[in-house]
Amino acid sequence: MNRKSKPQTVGRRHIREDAEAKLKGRLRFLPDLRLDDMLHAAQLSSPLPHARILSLDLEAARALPGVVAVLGPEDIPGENRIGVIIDDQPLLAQGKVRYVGEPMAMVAAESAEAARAAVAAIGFELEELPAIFDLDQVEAQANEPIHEEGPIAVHQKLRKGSVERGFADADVVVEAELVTGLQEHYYLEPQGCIATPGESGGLVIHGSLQCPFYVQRDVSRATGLPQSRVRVIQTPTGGAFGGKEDIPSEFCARAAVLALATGRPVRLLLSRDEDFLSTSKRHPFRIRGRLGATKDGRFTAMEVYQDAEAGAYATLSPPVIYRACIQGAGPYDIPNVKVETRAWYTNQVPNGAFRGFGSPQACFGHERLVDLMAAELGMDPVEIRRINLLREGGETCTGHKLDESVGALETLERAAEASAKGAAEEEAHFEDGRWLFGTGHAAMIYGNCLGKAGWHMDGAGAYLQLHADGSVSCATGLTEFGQGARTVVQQMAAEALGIEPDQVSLMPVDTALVPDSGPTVASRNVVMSGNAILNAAAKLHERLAPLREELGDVSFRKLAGAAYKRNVNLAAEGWWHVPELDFDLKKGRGEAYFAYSFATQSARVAVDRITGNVRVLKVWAAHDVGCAVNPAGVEAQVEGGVAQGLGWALTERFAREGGNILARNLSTYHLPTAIEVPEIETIIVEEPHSQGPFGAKSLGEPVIIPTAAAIAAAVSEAVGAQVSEIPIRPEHVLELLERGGHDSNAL
Amino acid sequence: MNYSRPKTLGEAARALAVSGAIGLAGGTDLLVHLGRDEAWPPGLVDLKEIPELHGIRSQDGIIRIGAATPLSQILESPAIEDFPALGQALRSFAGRAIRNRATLGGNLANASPAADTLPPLMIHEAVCLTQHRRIAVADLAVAPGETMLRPGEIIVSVEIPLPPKDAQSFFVKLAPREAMAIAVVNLAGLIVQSDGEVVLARIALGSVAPTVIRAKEAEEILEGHTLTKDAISQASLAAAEAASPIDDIRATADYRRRMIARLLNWELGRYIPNT
Ligand SMILES: Cc1cc2nc3c(=O)[nH]c(=O)nc-3n(C[C@H](O)[C@H](O)[C@H](O)COP(=O)(O)OP(=O)(O)OC[C@H]3O[C@@H](n4cnc5c(N)ncnc54)[C@H](O)[C@@H]3O)c2cc1C
Repeated sequence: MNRKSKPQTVGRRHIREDAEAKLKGRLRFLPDLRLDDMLHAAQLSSPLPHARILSLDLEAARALPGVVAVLGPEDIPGENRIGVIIDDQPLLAQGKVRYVGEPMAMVAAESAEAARAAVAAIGFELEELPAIFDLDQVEAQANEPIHEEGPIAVHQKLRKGSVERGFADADVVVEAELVTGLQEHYYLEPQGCIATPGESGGLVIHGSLQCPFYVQRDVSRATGLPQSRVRVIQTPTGGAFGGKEDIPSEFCARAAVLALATGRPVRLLLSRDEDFLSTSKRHPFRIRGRLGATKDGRFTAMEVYQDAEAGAYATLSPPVIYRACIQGAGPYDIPNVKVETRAWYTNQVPNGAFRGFGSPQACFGHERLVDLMAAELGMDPVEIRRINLLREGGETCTGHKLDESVGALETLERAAEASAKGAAEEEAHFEDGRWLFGTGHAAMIYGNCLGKAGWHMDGAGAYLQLHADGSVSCATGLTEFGQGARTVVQQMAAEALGIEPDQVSLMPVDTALVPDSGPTVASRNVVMSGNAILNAAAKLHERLAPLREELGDVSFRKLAGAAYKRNVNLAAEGWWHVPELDFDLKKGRGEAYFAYSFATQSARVAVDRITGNVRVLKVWAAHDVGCAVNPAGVEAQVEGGVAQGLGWALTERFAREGGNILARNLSTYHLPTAIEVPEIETIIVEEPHSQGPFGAKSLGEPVIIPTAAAIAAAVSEAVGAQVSEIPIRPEHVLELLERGGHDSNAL
Repeated sequence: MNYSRPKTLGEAARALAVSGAIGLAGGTDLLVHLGRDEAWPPGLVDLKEIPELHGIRSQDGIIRIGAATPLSQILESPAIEDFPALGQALRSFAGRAIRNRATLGGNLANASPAADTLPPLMIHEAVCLTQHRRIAVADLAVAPGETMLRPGEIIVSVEIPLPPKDAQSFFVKLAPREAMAIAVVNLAGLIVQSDGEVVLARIALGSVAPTVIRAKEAEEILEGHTLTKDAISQASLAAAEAASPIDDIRATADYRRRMIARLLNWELGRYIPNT
């Protein structure tokens, strides 16, 4: 490969290629798209959390004016099934409903009002069944199981050494019971799609989505059309955070079935409330853990039991559980580890993919244990992490020996050093006697891409078309939904060919134009697209090499022109897949992922002794990204992730009552505002990985993973007692203040 | 639906006489609900072009604020300097965009127990003026979302008497976040001390009862006595006792009650005379 020794474009700050259109409001999102003759879809949702469906009567609804189609489960031409991994979910409920909001029937009508009226006219009888609402009740499922297969949707184990021996070797053992809450993605643009019957009997789907090839497969399954007849075009997507990984497949499949039944384009668009009430959330976790260490702070054993609430269907619980388990004991070199992770069915909206896939929950677990140990030993929380963090040559908790790219320690040192200065300027404004201050740290490990469990779909492609003027068209199969991925992909393509980024045009993501590159999840876009592009670029360089030799030192533009005239093949296709992993899935032993990102975040907080309120004053986020392809993009990701983590830690209290969600929009679900989000200092650490493009590793999810744990640590330090649950409610803080002897003594 | 924009109070009253017609000011309460969880009414009568409902005037120790004056305009007015508690309430009210639309009349007529302008208006014993009569702000709301206004009755302005020169006042809002949030507890207090004694105490509590209430028992504990730590904690507990909060999506009743006591205790503590 002919790559310049010093990158020209990679590593420089770039303004996002979509920034201007977004800022000026020129980008057209799905709701802006109106096709001729378009119908409006609406869904009948179950009002009960668990019930047998005794009858469904669609006739009255079909007779209403403006109604074109009313379809039930029997009317689905293909399979009435959706689901990426475990086949437990119908497209329309059949026999039973398992959560409030589960779609039972669907309508296409001339207007949204007519569609809603038709939904209201559908007759049905339900026989209510006993329901299971949360992790407290899951063991009781034997009586009336949600699924015949049993109460546990997914179970993953990890074993290293012998924890019995490890605890016997320990001088001190600490244990904790921890709880993490639900979280709503709150992407700005709710779910939406349009299915249009195509000329040759196929379908074109436009949608706000992350994974066009998932949609293609599920639409094919529901309609019976071959995948090649289903063309999926991603519209500019207003945020996703995992919430548009598998979820759009179900809406697209329903719209597709309606489009085939009516022969007209059908739009299915969720209102904010509908979206909030019926789409996936972050899994709440119960974590029980024990950590053993010697007097001088060296960990001898960690044992963690994680129970997660899957909701009514498994959806993406398997990768969430896999990741939570593998990362359950954190970025530490511990000889004896046991982690056991289970996802339980409940009669709630299925919980699914959400930035981090169980890692923020896992991180809260291991980091709380580490802080407890530090407190127990009277040791500085930074020092105890320094002693135990993974180093090159060390072994992860799955026994994966790491030979390169371990930036864990450097992230710790840099975050600790920066945060040691505190946020003195801010603190001067706080009233005397009322506020307590604290700093906390949290470290994390993040396995890059899908890991062993998802290895079979961890490949990605790229097409490069070099034009006669030296510019390049580039098509990759991974998507942009706000991360700034397209800019980085553009930079990497430019770098690979030695041209300026403005000479690279990215194709829109359309399954007819781009290679199937698996899902855009697991922070894999940069690594996968980058490597596929490098692979394609190498082919181009190889084909250009003879001419380069012949023409000597000419510009790339001249070279391309000359090559064009000689009929050199200037279209190259690239492919990369994650190297084979030697991993035992049953025991959780071996190479779980091919590379790991590391980070440490530190947070400084002020705690109000009177109200129990917490204010975050500053966050320092040190991330080992291997290579910061676009440092401005790294900062933007860090800032967004920290804000989202702060919300999960403090303000986003997710209220439910039985099977009903009480909060449903921004007036009752409190996302942090610009006032709550403090200054965030990004510290970039680059420990390149030999398999990463330009050394780059994953970043998109790591940014949220340690935030809540760092805030919890900071609050714990301030109040003198350990936080055990998030969101950290003021009521909980008041109890902790009392326990820590720091109550305001005021009434 | 019929939308009208009357220019006079008389026209507005006639338009509102149509059964089911509703008055519209900033729309920040109304338009959130209409077409969503409430049906559109037969008539929407926009009150914003009636001159009497605008402006801020100061006269004879009374300040009069037109009911349709946007909150941000009130905040910018120099007249607000005499009412620091009201200023504080307005600053913590929603965010700038909402304050540019929302009005005082709307906040009063909406009769939310969490309305942020009510506690400060009540410690100043403000009065609303309608076409027909004067109603103490404290009497206006009778239940959550319900007022004693008759059909067609419009709040024209709100009169706030200037407090005694040496009055000290405060407003505190506790909410799930610092902006764009409805209060878990909001409260306002006013005290006047003379010769080492509290001669006037007024305390109003929001979000902790079906309507915003005055904590009379607490006021009585303070009045006629020196402001001491003891008196303050007694009064604060009495105020908490006067509340009848509920558990809701934002906080528990128990937490609300504790917060009344603790916040009042802290705020009043600032005014203990230096000895
Ligand atoms: C995002 C958001 C944030 C908010 N934050 C806060 C907050 O922090 N604190 C708070 O207290 N409130 C808050 N609110 C509620 C609302 O903004 C206030 O209650 C506001 O003062 C209502 O005024 P308006 O002019 O918009 O009333 P409108 O919505 O126009 O009217 C409300 C009601 O009052 C009646 N009405 C209006 N004017 C008159 C009049 N002159 N005479 C008789 N009846 C009248 C209307 O008929 C209607 O029934 C918030 C609302 C939103 C949407």
